[in-house]
Amino acid sequence: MTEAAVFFFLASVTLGSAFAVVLSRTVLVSALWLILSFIGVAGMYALMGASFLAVTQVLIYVGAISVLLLFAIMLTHDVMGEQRPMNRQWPIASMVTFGLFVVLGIVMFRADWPLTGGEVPPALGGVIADASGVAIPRAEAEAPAFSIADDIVADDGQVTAAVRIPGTVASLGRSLMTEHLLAFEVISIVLLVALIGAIVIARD
Amino acid sequence: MIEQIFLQSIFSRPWVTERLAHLVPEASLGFAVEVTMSVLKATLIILIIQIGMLWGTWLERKFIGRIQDRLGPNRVGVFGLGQPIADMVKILTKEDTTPTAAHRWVYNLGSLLIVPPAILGFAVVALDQGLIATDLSVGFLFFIAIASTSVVPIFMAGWGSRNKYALLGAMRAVAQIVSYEIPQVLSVVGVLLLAGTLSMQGLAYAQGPLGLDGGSPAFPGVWFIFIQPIAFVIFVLATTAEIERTPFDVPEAESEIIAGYHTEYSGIKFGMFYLALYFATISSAAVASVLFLGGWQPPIPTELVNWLANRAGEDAGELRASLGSLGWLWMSLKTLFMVLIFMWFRGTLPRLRADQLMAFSWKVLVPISLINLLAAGLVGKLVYTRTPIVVFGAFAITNVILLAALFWLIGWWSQRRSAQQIRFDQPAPVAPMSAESA
Amino acid sequence: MVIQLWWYLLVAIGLFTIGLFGAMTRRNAVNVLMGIELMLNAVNLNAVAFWRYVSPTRTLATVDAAGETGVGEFIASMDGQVFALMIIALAAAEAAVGLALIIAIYRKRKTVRLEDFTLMKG
Repeated sequence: MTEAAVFFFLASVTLGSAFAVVLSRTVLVSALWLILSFIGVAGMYALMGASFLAVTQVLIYVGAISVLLLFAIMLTHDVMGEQRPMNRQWPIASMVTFGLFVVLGIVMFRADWPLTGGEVPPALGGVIADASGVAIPRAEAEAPAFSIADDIVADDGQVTAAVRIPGTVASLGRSLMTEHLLAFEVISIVLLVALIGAIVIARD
Repeated sequence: MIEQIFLQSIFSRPWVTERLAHLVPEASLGFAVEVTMSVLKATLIILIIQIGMLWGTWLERKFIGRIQDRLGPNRVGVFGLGQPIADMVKILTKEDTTPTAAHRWVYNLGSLLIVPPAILGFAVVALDQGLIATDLSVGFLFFIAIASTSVVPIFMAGWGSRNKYALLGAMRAVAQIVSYEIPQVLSVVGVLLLAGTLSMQGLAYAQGPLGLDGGSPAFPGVWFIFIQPIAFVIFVLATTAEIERTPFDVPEAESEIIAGYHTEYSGIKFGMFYLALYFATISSAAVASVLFLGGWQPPIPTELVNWLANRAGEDAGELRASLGSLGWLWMSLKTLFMVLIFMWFRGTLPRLRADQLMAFSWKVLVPISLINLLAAGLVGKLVYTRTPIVVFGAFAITNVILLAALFWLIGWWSQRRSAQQIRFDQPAPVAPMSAESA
Repeated sequence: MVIQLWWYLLVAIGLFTIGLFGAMTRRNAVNVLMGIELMLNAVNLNAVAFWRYVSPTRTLATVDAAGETGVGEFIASMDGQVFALMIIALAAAEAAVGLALIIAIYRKRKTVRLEDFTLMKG
């Protein structure tokens, strides 16, 4: 019940400030509303148990991207409001986007999502053992665990030895360093290229 | 230990549940306990930092007064201890003005929103074993993220005031905070790597003789200031810049741009900025002491405690418990030490120039912290799960090598720089007069 | 009331369409970029919601601090969160390059109105 109330609060903050971003006349004020919208999304991540992502969202979006936006506004434009912030296509655009909203909504409700209903593992890690009935020698069980699925310690559903499983942050780090290593390296290079490119483009 | 009994009782679930059981119906007891505990913790933290802030201003003025061979405040009360209250009365009774050209909402919200980022950092500070508002799994990152949001109210204050000095100060402040965030985080990554956790309680456990649940201590078992001294220096410098204390207070350099982004504020709205500065100082000092000075761990070497515990045999648990009983005192002393370091900077060092400030972050602190991180990773891998003495020795050798290389580099660089500079003590070369000009 | 997957998806769709509307209609280039950031956030929200509700799970026995044992279904994959992290990194790169472009254009043409960028329009 409390969670649902928190969700509705966050959803209304996110969507309300997103509307304000689009409709506000002053560019800087819409940037400030955008920050509130980012914070709302971060709150939803935290509500879903993705604490690392929630903090990253605040750190990157609020601490870096919005600062970039604010700087760009300061460097490019007089900060006063505009008489006509939107172009002449706004009636068509609003119809198109509303149509897209309806279509996406219909698709979303008609789709048969394969819900699994798992719980998020404890954020700080914890003592969890497998209950699938597979018994594993104690020495093997206490070896360093690489993901949640590897920590198997059970004997007919009775826990014989307990292992501290990694927390969500540790699992995310391991996942980035094993399964998704290539993507991780590629994104690092993309960031480096963007860094150099931005400096080259914006230089006098 | 009345204080300790008090603190641990209001932070313990059974105690609160027992008190609430008579007052609240069974169905909503869990929820009521959660809310009550959150309110109690928040009240305690706000009390601590309010009192710390008020007499922090007194301490700073007294301390800097002594550094500058003055007496400092000494008129109100004994040793001038009543001065903060007099200051408060003055700030509250001042006229509250708003510039006519200001964007009213942004201007007023800017001064209000500056405080929460400074307070929220305290939510993850480990004050004692089991005495923490929320032991988040991303504790340190949470502190950094919350601190980085302080750029938004600063921008709001600077832009909302409609004053070019305020805007200039805000731009400087934001650029400074964003640049110094990078060395601040990079310097701590080595520490996080060795401790293997981001949780503040976990970081405290990694540094001293006391382990989780009275067990054996965690790796590496040494205060991080001893194995990552370069990171400590970088972290303290970057944090000083983050919270805009002298010598990094370029955004409010009064000789250049009046008072930066809070030029137009007066009365309690100005007081908010002042409040936020001291809150941020105290919370950064607390985080620094958890990260590098062992937090609530007693200042006793891990090996000594292990030896004593071996000798004590069956009473080892009791020994560890008695060592851990003064955690809140150690934590307070370490935090006070860090606060005094920040104040000492202010009393000693002159303010940097704006371009020097940015160059210092990007050209000095970031490369050094990257090299330090590389060394921490390599040596940490070599000595992983060894005893504290081995870890300390290996890192001592590494740090001596790194520091020697660093000093050689600084010497080479300053020589090269002085060769490039124009010499005023020698006469400039005079061009021989030609026939035409004569 | 338990939070359902479709609640998050509906918020994401709303955020995406609002962002799209902003990107299509605003005259200021910086505002268009804000619309794009909103759309990227909607995608991220989707990725994390799917991580939370449709990730592969594993049945594990749990032991709490008091030594009590129990059984729970736990999420056994971090893929959704990894996707979201990658998109956040890409969004940062995109914002940096995009804003650098806007500043470079502003230097040349002294405007950030999109309809004034008509150099290529025959």
